[in-house]
Amino acid sequence: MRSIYKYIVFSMAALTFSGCEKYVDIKTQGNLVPSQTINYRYLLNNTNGFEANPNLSDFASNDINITDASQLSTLTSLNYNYFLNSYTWQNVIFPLGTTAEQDLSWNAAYAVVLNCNTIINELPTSDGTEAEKAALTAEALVHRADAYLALVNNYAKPYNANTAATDLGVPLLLEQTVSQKLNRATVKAIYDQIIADLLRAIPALPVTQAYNTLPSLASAYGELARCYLYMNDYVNASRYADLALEQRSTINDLSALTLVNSTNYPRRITDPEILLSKVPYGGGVSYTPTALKLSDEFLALLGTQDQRYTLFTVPASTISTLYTGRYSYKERAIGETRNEGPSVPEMTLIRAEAFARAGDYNNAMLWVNRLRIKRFKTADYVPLTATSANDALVKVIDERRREFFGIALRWWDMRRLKNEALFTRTYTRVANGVTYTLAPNSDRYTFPIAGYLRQLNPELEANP
Amino acid sequence: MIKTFTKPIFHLLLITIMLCCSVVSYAQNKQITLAVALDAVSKKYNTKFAYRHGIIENKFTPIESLKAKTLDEALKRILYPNNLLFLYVSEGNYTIIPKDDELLNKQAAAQDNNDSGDSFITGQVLDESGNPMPGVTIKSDGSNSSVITNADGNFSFFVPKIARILGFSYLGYDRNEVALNGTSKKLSVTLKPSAGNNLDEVVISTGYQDISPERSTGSVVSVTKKQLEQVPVANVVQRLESLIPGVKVSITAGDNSFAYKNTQLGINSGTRSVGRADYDMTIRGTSSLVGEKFPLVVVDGAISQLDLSALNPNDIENITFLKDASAASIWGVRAANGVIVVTTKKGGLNQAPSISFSTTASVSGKPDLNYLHTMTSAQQIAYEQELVNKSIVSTPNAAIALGQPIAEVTDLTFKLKAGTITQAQYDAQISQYSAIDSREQISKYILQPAASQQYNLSVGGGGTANSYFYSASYSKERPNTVGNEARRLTVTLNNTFKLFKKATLTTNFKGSFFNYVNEGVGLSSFYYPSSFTFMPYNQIVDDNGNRVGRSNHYYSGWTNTLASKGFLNWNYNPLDELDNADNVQKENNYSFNANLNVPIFKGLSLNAFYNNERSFGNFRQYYNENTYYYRDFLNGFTPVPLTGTAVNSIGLTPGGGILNQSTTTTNNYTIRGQLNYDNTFAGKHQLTVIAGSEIRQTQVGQGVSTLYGYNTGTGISRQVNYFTGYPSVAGYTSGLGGSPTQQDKTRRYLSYYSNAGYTYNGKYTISASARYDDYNNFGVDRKFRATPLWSAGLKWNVAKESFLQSQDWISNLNIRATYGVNGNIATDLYPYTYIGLGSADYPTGLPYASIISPANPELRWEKTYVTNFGIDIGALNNRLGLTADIYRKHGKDIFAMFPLNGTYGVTTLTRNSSELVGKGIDLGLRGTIYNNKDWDVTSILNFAYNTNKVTDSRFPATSSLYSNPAYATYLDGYATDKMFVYKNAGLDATGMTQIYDENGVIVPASRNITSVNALVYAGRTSAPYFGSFNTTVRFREFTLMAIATYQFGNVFLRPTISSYPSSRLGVSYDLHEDVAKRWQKAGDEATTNVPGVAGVYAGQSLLRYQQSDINVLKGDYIRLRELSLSYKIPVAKITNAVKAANFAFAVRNLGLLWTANKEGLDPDFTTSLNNRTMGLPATVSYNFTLNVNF
Repeated sequence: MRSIYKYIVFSMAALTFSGCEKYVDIKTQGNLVPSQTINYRYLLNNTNGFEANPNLSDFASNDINITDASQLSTLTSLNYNYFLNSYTWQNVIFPLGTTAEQDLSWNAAYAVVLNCNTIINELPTSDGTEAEKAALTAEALVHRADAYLALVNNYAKPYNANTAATDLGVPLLLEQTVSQKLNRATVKAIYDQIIADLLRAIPALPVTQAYNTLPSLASAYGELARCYLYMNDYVNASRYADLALEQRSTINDLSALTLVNSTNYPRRITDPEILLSKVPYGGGVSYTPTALKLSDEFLALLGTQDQRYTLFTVPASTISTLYTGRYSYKERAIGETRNEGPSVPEMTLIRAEAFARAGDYNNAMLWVNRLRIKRFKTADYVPLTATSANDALVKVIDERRREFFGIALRWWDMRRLKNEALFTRTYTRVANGVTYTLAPNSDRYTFPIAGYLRQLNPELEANP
Repeated sequence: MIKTFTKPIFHLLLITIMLCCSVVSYAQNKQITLAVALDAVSKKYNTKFAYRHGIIENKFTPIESLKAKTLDEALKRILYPNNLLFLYVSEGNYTIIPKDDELLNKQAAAQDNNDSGDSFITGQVLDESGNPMPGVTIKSDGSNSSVITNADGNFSFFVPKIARILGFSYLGYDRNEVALNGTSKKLSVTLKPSAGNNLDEVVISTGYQDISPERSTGSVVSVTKKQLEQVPVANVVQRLESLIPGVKVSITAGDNSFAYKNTQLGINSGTRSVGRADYDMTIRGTSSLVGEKFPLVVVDGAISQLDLSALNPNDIENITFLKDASAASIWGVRAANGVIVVTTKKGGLNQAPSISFSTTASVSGKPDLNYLHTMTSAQQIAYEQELVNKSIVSTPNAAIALGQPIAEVTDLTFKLKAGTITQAQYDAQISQYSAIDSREQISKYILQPAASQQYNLSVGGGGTANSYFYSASYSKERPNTVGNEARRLTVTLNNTFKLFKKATLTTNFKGSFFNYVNEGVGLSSFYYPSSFTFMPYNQIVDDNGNRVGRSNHYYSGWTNTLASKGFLNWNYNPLDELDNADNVQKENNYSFNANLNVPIFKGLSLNAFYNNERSFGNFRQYYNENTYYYRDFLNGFTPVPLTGTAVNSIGLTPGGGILNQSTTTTNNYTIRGQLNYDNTFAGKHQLTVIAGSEIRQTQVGQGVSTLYGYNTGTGISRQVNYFTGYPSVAGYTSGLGGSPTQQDKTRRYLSYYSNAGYTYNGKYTISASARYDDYNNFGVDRKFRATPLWSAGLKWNVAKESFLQSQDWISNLNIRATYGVNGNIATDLYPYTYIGLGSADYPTGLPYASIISPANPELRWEKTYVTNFGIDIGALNNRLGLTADIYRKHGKDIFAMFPLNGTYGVTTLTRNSSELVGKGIDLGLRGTIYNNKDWDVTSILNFAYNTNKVTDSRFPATSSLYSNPAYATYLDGYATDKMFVYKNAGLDATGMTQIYDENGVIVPASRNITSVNALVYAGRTSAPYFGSFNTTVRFREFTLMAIATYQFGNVFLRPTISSYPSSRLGVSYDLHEDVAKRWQKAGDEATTNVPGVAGVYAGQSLLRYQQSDINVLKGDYIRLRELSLSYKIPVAKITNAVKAANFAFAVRNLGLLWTANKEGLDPDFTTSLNNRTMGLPATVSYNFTLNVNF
């Protein structure tokens, strides 16, 4: 009897006083314990969390031309309205108070920024070695640079060295708090941050990664080359394109293919052409109403001999019986979302453009042909030649269109080239009987900032 | 001569004299007289002794006896060696008696002759089973003072000389009056439960302690086994439906009790998952916006994570509902939704084994498919013709791969249009289709009359030192769907042991074992709107008796071309599925409790409690090669060959199938140490205190795996690669689902709690409780977790006041008031950056994590402040009883999701900042209207009112309200279940729904509204007024009972068309009869409000029609839930072998006696055809029960 008392009293005392706080200090599976470095490795492995780029530009470029009433009619419905609004260069794309008032592209890009900021700022207090932490931080810096480069090329004016210090860019969030002000930084500040992030990342980045979704050294060089190109700094663009190509230079050979599918074409995450995998927001294979119908003007430029025409485009009947013309189809063919991150072909064409800009049109064509030889059946391949620097430049830009159709780069190019005499054009298109015009100096080269965002944070300045 | 010195002066005098003598005479021997010793003790401890003069004479004790540390010890040392005992009378008063009992009686008898003193009476109060009854009030007719029996049912009491009657009263028991005849001074009194009174056997259990209802300040309702026995359903949920005011039990599945639509535990679900589509229960409405809203369930003292269906209802002794803060806050952070405390039966001490056997069988009709209000074949055919003619469905093309399926008439009409069939062929086929009504075959092959059986056997009894209650039950249930069946076996072993004559050890073992066979083809697979909806003109079996296969995945024109290429048959037939299905879930649950209670010292006792609850579930779904699932899956991984025979890319060969398995285990334990103190001082002050600490761990694990090519004969399956993918029929590579996963989640809780109650004179009670909880997932810093929750309560037992003593008609009157804080937690919110771990990243297969929510350092627990005022009235010897409570629940820091600027990286953030104010009334009225030897008429009326309001300026009217008003989230100033709808303005000339804006201007479907004033506030979707009415009429051995439930004041949306096909959504056929009323051509708008199917804005237009004021119906109803007739077989006249026997016949689900809507809709079953868990109203069920006691 006594011993029972003792036992009970002892165990109660033990329960009450010793180690109770420790009792509840355990980890529940599925919920990571803060301050462990491995968490951030896992975060960086989340492809979905880093891969998305804005998709607004998909419809805005002149590669696309929607003419079928059936497709236009569906795009008119409230849920798809924003595709049509971007297609017709509206000053309001996401009307406040509608079901489509959220700018999902903007949100997706800033979700990447949140992930990056969390990693960059929380990693230093975690438990790993400095080398581990630096490597993970470097990956996050590359992703953040890519997100800001995409944001600034959608929602801010094209880079102009004379006005960049005053032109409004996008909010530059470098910390993961949800209460900071959202005033927009200048275009220059954004580009400076992008370059600073990439340069900071380079020393710690791994030379190779298992998958293209994880930034490697080549990714950072590729992003730098792209960044300088859109700053019109062709010397630096070429320099970093060269460094990227030193790391990776394979171009997929299409010459022998009669069709592409997932068995004979590399997957995006291991495609040797891709330096860093990025996809337009919305992922997946384009859904029928948003299928990208190619403009006649672009199809004429592409030509029917090009393997990129044969393999990556299809007649409309493949998409829907109600559609006509020809559609971009690469993603459906290989069952994956199209990549729009930096790639070997892009680096190749940046090198070509830099030569053309420098007046070395022969070298420019040499670089263009390095790509083209892989894009035609051997029997159909004819090397391009140029007669002048300008001729070479036009041919380089044309080749960019052929290589990059259906992804954001064409729209970005239209923006950066709009005031160059060689490329200045006024674009027009007709939708539902209304003609829309995009003049070279139009404000519509810059997408508006959604009213919903401005309603929640009025300090976020509007675009003109 | 016997004399008692109760008067201090005599006492003092005597002792002084004795002291002098003894000091002189015995000092050297170190022995003192008892008189001296007692005097010393008296002074030291300020006590008084009464004893017969002579008994201490010539008795001595060593002087060391006085050095004892306690009064008790001292008295023992002094008196015991001298063959004397002492009895506690009241604080500071003791009686000393010889060890010989008879002397006591002589002494007591003598007291009557004593003019100066009061009578001293001791005794024990027992209930009808011989168990001691604590808390019984004892009062004589000689004065107003009363005493209360202690924990062992004992009392001792000084009664004035003039008193002639001693009254014993206890709520729910007949008052017992004992005449004081002057001879018996040691009473043994037995109280019997009041007849015709449902309050019998009432025990209020908080799970930590049992309190007598008289001393409970909180709003507590206890349900007895007798009440539970009235409903012959195998699940306790149904039995609770109408019993408790303020507890809303919603039964949303008509045909089953525990064969739920979902019987699998969702390991990642933040709320309960088992049975969610079948029933719900709330106590006093909603207390939380995003957290768990189901009440906490406590079984035999421990929190149970199992569904209520694991309990055998026949094992339940009583269920206590803790409704307000004072009652529930002892359960801390989980108490805001209220607590359900279940106590199982125990045997009685010194009882011969009593065996009880009962069996119930029930059958019910097939459900009525007409309730779904679907179109006829002719209407459906006309609809499809319009879809083709208006080009809403695109032309099918057998040459194009992966085209979506279309219905037969749609296809036929396209063929007519294309000229591949003649008009005559077309007409012939159409006329054949028009004659078919698919409901006949669905009803014939898919539905069956539901049936169930229950068998229950229990034995209870006990000896002098132990008691037991053992039971076993078996229930079998066959719901309406052919192919489904559920079986349950339960075992209960409850034991109570008296250890060392003092300690009590109680053990409970419960096991419940389920076997679910879910091989049925659900109704939703026929009616769910899709491109392959089962059409009114479709057949399961054709006129020649052949089963009809339909192409469900792709256009039949294309799949038909594949058969010759080596593909498996790609058609679906429900009967084939019934034949081939192999889908069984087994679940074994065990629960073990041990509760040791050790009395330590005068009312102080110690409890050590241990509970372990474990469950093992195995869910197994085997798709053999003939199942549609297997054929569809394998064809999906078979690339279309250019030449030759198609081969699946996974490499599966005939002979195997696909086995999906999921294994769930739970292991939860609670360990508790608790000190109880229960004592009465001076007969007037009753104090009860408990304090304890508790640790609890829950562990749940779930492993899911798929075996491809699994051969049941060999047990071998084929190895597959989950991450690189396999070429598919679509031409590209698809990943294979089903990579094995195993999740294990352990959570821990630590709590300290205390509860105290003090009652003065049986009239005034104050109570208080406090609890501190700590939970491992709530915050990195203890400051986020540490929130003490508390409550306080007052009770005034007015009936015991002298001014009401003369009012015989009032038998009970209490007034209660409580206030306190309850908490609620959300298991999926964290103050730091919440990084959730995923299993494998899709394209790469690497382990990954994602930010589920950014850091939210201000996160706190939800708190609900509850104020409750209550009154309990019993009149006319408790024949009439009323319990009324009025309450206000003020939730602060309620979690809610708010919109956030997407620039921060997330678009919503859950913060605790909302306020939720709930108010309500619970009212229970019970009356024995008439009773005599042959007749008993008893009625019970339960009524509840509950409403709530969200107040938060961050819930403004948003675009989601304007675009989806009926289902939009919370709005500042409105109830959580508010419903807004559009003001319908009829159709325009193109058949599109128009609505009015805030200025009465008509808005077309293409334009949005922008003001909340353009909407109509329709009301609340859950009924603010609800309750039940029970009447029981007994005539001799026959008892007739009726249970009706009612609800008033809510609204619902009439089910209508859920979707139209469109080029965006693709083909989807909704069969609702409203489709037949659609606008088809200009001019129709004059006669119909149902919008047309064609046009860019047809979807928007339909949505506005669905959610407009013309479709709002009132939800008020009165439902006749059960009518039963039971007959108490007069076994005594037949045999001695049987103690009692009872036969009952009950009819349940008799339908609605009255409903406000005139459409024939049951407001509890108002889902559209697009609801996967669509339930049909329950059909009438007939139940037969036989109950025999040996």
